[in-house]
Amino acid sequence: MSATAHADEHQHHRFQAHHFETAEQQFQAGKLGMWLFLATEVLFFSGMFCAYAVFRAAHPEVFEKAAEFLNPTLGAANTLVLLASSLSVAWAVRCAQLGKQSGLLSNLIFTMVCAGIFMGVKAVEYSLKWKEGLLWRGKFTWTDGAHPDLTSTHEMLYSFGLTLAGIGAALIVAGLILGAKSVGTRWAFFALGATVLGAAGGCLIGNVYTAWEQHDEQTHGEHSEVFEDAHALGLEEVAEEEVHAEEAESEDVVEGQTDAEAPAATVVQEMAAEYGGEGPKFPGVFFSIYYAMTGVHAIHILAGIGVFVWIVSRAARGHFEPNYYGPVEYTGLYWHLVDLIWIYLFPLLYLIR
Amino acid sequence: MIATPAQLEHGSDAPASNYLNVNKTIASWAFTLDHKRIGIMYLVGIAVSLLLGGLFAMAVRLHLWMPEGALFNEDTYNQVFTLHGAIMVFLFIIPSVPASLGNFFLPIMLGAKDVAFPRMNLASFYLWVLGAIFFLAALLMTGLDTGWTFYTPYSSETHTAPVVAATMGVFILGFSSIFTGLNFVVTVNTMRPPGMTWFKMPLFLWSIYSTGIIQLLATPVLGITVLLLAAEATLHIGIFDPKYGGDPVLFQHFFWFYSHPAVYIMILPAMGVISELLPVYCRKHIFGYKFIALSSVAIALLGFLVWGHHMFVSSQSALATVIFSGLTFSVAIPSGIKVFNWLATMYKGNIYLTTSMCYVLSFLFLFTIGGLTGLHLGSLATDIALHDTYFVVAHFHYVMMGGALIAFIAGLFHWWPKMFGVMYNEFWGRISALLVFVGFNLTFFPQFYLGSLGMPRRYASYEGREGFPVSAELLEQFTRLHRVSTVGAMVLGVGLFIAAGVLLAALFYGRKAPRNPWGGATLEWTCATPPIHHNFDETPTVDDPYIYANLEWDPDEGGFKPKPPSTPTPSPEHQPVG
Amino acid sequence: MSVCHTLLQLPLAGFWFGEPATTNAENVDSLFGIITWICIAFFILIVGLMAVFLVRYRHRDGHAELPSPSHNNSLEIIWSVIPILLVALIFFLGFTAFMDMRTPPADSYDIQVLASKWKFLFRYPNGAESEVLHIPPDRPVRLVQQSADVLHSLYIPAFRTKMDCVPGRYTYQWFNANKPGDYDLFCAEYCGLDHSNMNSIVRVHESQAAFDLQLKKLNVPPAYPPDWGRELWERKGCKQCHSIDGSERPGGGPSWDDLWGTERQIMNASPVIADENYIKESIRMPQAKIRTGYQGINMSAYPPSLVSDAEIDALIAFMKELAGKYDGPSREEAEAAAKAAAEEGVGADSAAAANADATPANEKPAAEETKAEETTGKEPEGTASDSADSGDQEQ
Repeated sequence: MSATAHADEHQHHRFQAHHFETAEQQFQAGKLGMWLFLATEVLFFSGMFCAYAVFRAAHPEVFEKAAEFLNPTLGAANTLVLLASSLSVAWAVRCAQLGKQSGLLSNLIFTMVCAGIFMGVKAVEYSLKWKEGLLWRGKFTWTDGAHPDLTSTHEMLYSFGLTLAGIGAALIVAGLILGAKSVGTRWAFFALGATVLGAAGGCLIGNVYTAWEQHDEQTHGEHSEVFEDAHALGLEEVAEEEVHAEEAESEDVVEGQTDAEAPAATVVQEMAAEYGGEGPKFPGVFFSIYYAMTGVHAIHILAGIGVFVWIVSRAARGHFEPNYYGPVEYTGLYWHLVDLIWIYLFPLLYLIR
Repeated sequence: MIATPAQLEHGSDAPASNYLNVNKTIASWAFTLDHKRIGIMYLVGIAVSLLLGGLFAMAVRLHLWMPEGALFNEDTYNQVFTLHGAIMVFLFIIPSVPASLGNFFLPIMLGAKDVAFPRMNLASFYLWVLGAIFFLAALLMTGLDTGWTFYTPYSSETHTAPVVAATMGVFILGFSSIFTGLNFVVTVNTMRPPGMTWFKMPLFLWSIYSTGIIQLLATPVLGITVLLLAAEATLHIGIFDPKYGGDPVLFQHFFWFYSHPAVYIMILPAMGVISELLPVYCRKHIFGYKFIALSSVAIALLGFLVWGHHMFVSSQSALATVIFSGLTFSVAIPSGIKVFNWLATMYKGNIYLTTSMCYVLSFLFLFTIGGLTGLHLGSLATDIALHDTYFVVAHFHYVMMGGALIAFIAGLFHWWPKMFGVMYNEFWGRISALLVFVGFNLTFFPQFYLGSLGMPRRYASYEGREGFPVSAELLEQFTRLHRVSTVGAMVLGVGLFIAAGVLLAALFYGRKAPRNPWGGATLEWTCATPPIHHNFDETPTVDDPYIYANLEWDPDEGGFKPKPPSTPTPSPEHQPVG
Repeated sequence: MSVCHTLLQLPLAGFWFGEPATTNAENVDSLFGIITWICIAFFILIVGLMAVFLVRYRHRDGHAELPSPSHNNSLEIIWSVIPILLVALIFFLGFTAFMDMRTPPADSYDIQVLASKWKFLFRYPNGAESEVLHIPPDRPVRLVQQSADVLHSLYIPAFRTKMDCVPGRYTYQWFNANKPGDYDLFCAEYCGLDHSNMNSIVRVHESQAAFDLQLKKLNVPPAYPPDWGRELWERKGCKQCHSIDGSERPGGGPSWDDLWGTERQIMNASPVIADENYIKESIRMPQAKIRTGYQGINMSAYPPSLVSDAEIDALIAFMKELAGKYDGPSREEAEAAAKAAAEEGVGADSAAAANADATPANEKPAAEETKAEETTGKEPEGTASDSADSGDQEQ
């Protein structure tokens, strides 16, 4: 701050803010702040977990069948990628504590590459679902027995991956040019470029895998069976069951007299037809929750990438040393939480069937 | 409080530079990291919101002068009461005490130079501004007619654009609130000065600390709720809207999981202000320090368990309803403990009826009524009759306005000399307190009666519709009571304008304030008036913040000053708990 | 509740609430009285002490603060435990009264409530519908509530009862009204534009017989089809959005005054003539053909359960009359035919025949009328409802 404030603080670490008495106090304050922030993050997601639980409890069959539309292989791959990134970020913190500059940088960049791969795979998943019409409730257009031709989407993803690779390479070159004078800028560009390259890799690999899987299943004819099975059981019957359930409820409720109930019951049927019981549309709520949860999670990944760019840039400038590594640790904590949330999302959305 | 030799040496000499005049450029305000300046900027924003919300309130009251509605058509009235509620709740009361007075005095009371994360503090303010802009956008778009509660499915099928703007505003304001709360919790946890144990903290800090915990734990749920609501309104995700298979009652659960604890975000800081002011003006040690401190924490925690009492007639199960009712009563106990301890503090005191104290006494009176009528609403059978009537309106205005707003004003009068270094006119200050007190009761007490007679909330008119008139007997009583209420609102408005005028006039015409005009023993009264940029030249040492025997009146300065060090230690009765 | 309770609430609840009109309302009132007395006691204690301290210990010359302890655990315990006991008592009383209010007797008489923007429609066991809530006296009545659009809340102040109408699920409330008369009914949950005009009247009849007579009257639609159509226009909610005098309702649809038989400009399609098929489609599937200038106004669909085919015919007759193109039987003819049919007391065939001219494909109301006539034809007035009930159970 002002000159007077710093007059007697020459013994302080250069990154110690003027209002803290000691570096230790600053570190503890930052750490507590981050933990509290993580608590708010958990509560933020808890709202969606709660919605998931409520709708799952209300319509377990729909959720079980709808989950079969998700690709567990891609989900599992992303889980592994995130676990690896968690390991590397922990390692990065350790390197910072030990003052190992190169270890710190390489681990941070590896973490970012993992984040990129995750986003690339997610892009493949989203694109395919978009094409198939497996969207949230208001846009859910997947219809009975439809096997949309995914070739164009695969082609689009292929060129998208290549474009990403080009952008990644361009970023690295840009880093060499723009960061010629500043080591921080240079490494920030490198890290961002590596992340985009990771995304390109994730996108291409995911694309190739899904294309292969689709081709494979089409040749064996299993794929469509699963889908039709899922549809027949999960969607139509469930919708009907719902109507029945509501009817049953209404009868339960108005027991003892039927004359007045007759028009009421038809109203319920009409309402069921108009609202909840719109047949195959109901799985839309599963996908609403799927997009809400994974989408918000993806936003957190992107925010994490942004913070990591800043951390890499500072690390490259040699800001972190054994007695000052707070920001690395806080970012690491944040990253662990983002991983942890995915660890819950993956089985809840992809695996429970 | 024992003043350090450095402070004694300074005496009453105002330092050459203080936080206000250290740098006068606009940029030095816009990019300041000084918690005091951020507090002042918040204060300005909050005051503007209060003015705006208050004008909408006046419009509502004037409109209801006639049974058919005097000013607007239904559509406009619905927007006016929505904006009144939303602005008052999200832009005014929630940030009021913590963001302005809390920001200004929390670090000073801790003897710290600033809050733990000054940049985050500034970000919090700008997020508040951004949120306010979203609200303003919703206002200008017109059509925000959902009520501040945004209940689905109405909110997801009415005009989409203003609802999305307002919910995004709420989302952003939520982050502003989280940042403030996080900052305060961390600051209190890690930056207390040597000697200040948990139980030697001023009670204001205890209440701000409890508030911070609620802000941290409740606000994120509101954030995701309004996010999902915005998605529901635009994309139809089918989570809250029954038309798409959603559950409207789930929205109410989510919403009140935040918005009930939010009630304590509003009232706890106000209670902290009262706990701080009352002993100063009674010249007595606060009674039952530990009970007041821990009751704040108890309220913060119990406040999370009672959200369902807003939904007794929303078709939640009878079992849940009964459980929520039982838990609701449990929150009454810590609030009662506070009131009794405040009363006991007055016992055998030496009560100075300053403007602040007048407001504090108003608070005690109004909060008692607000709290006691909560019993009618917590009790299941009576709530079925009273829910969503003017009885509820009166109850929460007694608590929110008679509690939070009155305490906020009391705090402003108490700390104004420290914040700006000027004294205000006590005579007009007391007149304003009297008008506010009378006007308030005139406005809201008739509403208890109105509500029990059956007047529902959020009605643009109360004469019934064509072919279905409201019975003559009810219509006559409704009209009479609404008119009393409207007259009261005008008196209340005049009182509040006078209060604002007194404070503003002091800035220009007020005489210079001494270091310690009221004889407070918390740390803010030992730093310069107005405080210097870094609050303290050296970290002060602290002791019990409620012992006033070490201060004596100094007629030269017109304020209190520490007694010479030879003063014998205070009598054992003054020893604090702990 | 005990005499003591009655004494407690006498001077208070009557003042606050007005006269109770149901058995549960009396319980609510006595509880309200008890709570209010407790509140008054605490208020006097707190504010009284405050006033006394203020006077005795105010700052004045020669007065200084006096030493006294700054904490006292026994006091704290006292002022924690006594309120705990009192709120426990209040909770318990509120809980028992609430369980009474939530648990309808097994023999309660059910009335269906359909809440929509912005009116309540009550449907009785014999199929009759009304906007005024008719209640038999001294008999437990249960309301089975639904909402067609947003949240509403049916609130009857004199009954001290209220329950939200939630779209997508049923909600219930019950009461046993014991004082005949007219009472106010309000919507208590904010539901948009005309929330404050969503009130109605509860009519507690003098006797069961009077109630039954009322139901019978409700069940007979006006014989002259345009009259019936006008009644439906008022009752079914058409009125909220469609005027009959050529004026435009804000956010509403086209006026009906000159609608019939004219050419209508349709969005993204060729114009159509407003004939029977167009009107029916516009009611059943409003989004199928949207008239130019009215896009973005989403009228909700009215399936047969909400507006029957016969009712659509009546609406069409009404529109024809508005446009001066009505060609069915005149009012005198229709009424004479209906009267003749009623006097002859013949069954479904002739009743249907009487209406057949004006309203072809008239199925449902005819059947209902028949049923009502059968019921009343067989039984004397006083026991009509019993037979209706037993008839219900047989089905």
